[in-house]
Amino acid sequence: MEEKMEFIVTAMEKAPVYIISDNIITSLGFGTQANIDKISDGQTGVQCHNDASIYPTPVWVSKITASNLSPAAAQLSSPEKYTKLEQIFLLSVAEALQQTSVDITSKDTLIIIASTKGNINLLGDPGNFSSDRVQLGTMAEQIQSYFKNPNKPLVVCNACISGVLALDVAKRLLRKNKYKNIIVTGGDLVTEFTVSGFQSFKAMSDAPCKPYDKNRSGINLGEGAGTMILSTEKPSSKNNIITIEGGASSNDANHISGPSRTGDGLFNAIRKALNDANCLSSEMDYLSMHGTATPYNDEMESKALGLADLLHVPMNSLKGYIGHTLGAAGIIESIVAVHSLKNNSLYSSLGFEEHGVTLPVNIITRNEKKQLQKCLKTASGFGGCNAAVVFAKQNIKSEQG
Amino acid sequence: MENTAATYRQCEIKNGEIFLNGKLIFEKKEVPFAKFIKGAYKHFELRYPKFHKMDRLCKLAFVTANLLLEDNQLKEYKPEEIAVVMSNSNSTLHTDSKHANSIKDKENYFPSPAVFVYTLPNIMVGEICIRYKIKGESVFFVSNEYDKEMLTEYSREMIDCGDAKICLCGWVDYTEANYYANLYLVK
Repeated sequence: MEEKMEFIVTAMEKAPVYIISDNIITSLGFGTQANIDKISDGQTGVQCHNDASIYPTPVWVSKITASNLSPAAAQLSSPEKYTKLEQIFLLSVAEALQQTSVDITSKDTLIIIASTKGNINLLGDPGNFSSDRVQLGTMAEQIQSYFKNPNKPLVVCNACISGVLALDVAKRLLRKNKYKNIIVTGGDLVTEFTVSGFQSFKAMSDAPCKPYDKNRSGINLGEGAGTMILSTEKPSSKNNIITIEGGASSNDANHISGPSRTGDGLFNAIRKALNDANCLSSEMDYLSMHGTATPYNDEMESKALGLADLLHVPMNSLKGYIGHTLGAAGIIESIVAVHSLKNNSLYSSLGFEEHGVTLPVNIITRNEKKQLQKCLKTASGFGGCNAAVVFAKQNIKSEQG
Repeated sequence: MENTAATYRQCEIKNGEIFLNGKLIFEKKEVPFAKFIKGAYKHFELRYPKFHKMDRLCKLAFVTANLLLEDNQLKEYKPEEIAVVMSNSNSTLHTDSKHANSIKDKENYFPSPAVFVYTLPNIMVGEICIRYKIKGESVFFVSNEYDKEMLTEYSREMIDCGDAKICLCGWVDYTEANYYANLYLVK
């Protein structure tokens, strides 16, 4: 009986997961297009901040200024009721929603939030907010109740893979037809809490970060939010429909704060994601990597790509443009990857000059127009976790014809 | 609840007591948590030097997982076939406060990587994966209430679609005021 069940499950067609809308908010701008325009122009939001509220000495980070956020937040109803991060989440979700007819107040719509530290800036000094706002669950309820969504939001808190993993969680729930639409939003802030922590690890670069470069010396932290709205219903447009084809996660089972030396953990996630998507590595046209610019991470990624037979595929890291936005990173970078597929555009991996990993990965050094069909997005993080998802462009032919 | 039949073995730790499959196996009440958990670690002869470096949340998760998985519960599974689905409500609040205290005073600024690494709740998952060589799917959710039904259903679906054969599932939460761990196996 059990064997028979298994057969039915594997033989079942996986329900498609359509990406119907998105939004990015970072130091580069408010909205996906604003961010992609800046990336396409080679501009960075990473700057040297001499601000004692972030760190006692100057640090290179990507921050959303109050002068940019305040006018945008004025569109929200009662913005003063929300923390800085909540405002960014609300703006991101609201703008992504506007592009769709999704009913966020429906039982069929779920919100999934990816964040590593949420409102951690309130810890010990909550100001006008109640002290439980530092709880991720309470922060999530603010977002849920703002939009009058009837379902308890899911919060994925899984270090630097939170964003990519949240997309994979959404994929599972949509394939099971638990919901018609899932709004996946990820966000984190640059705070003294995280800056001092990464500094104590000596993981922060004292200049704009240089993923995969010989002279890379660590990360730049960044802040922002990314929102992707996923649906089981095929969008009405005939062109440029992008789907999540597959995804997976894995653990290195090696070290809590260092990546595997062999890349086998990330390779496992990539292999499983490709299997889930029913794809071969030779079908990948582009790789959106995690590329934090720490010596060990980038080296590990190159090993994983070697194992996965993906060394020849054009790849980049977007950390040089927006820094490492922690829980938002996987979603923001996935959105840029989705638009790369839509626009047939590859963006250069900012900060890279001289090859600095053992294996010959194919780093994009200048923007290029190229026919793109499928791409892979990866992330790896503390706790030995890895995640990968596969996106594909559907060539919808005229169904009437 | 439909999932009871599918749930095998569980370990629960609360108020100075440890229960395995509902049966009380260890008790050390009226001592602070640190003493209690060390007492359990010694009593069950867990012998894992890295235990002493862990924060309280990870110690709680580690002891719970060890007792749940004793007698080689995972021996018939490959590392990639074992998944972990865990959750809590306070994330890493206790260690967050410790890290925050280390950066409060600019004249006496001493953030430590050994503390900071424990400010992510999935580090618990990482510690368990290292100890038991678990390399499969994993996810950490944070929610104000323990939604056992959701976690079990999520694990079950992961197994049904062939992404795992067994899943270590449950809740581990720690604050100075309260703690609760409940881990179980879904297969």
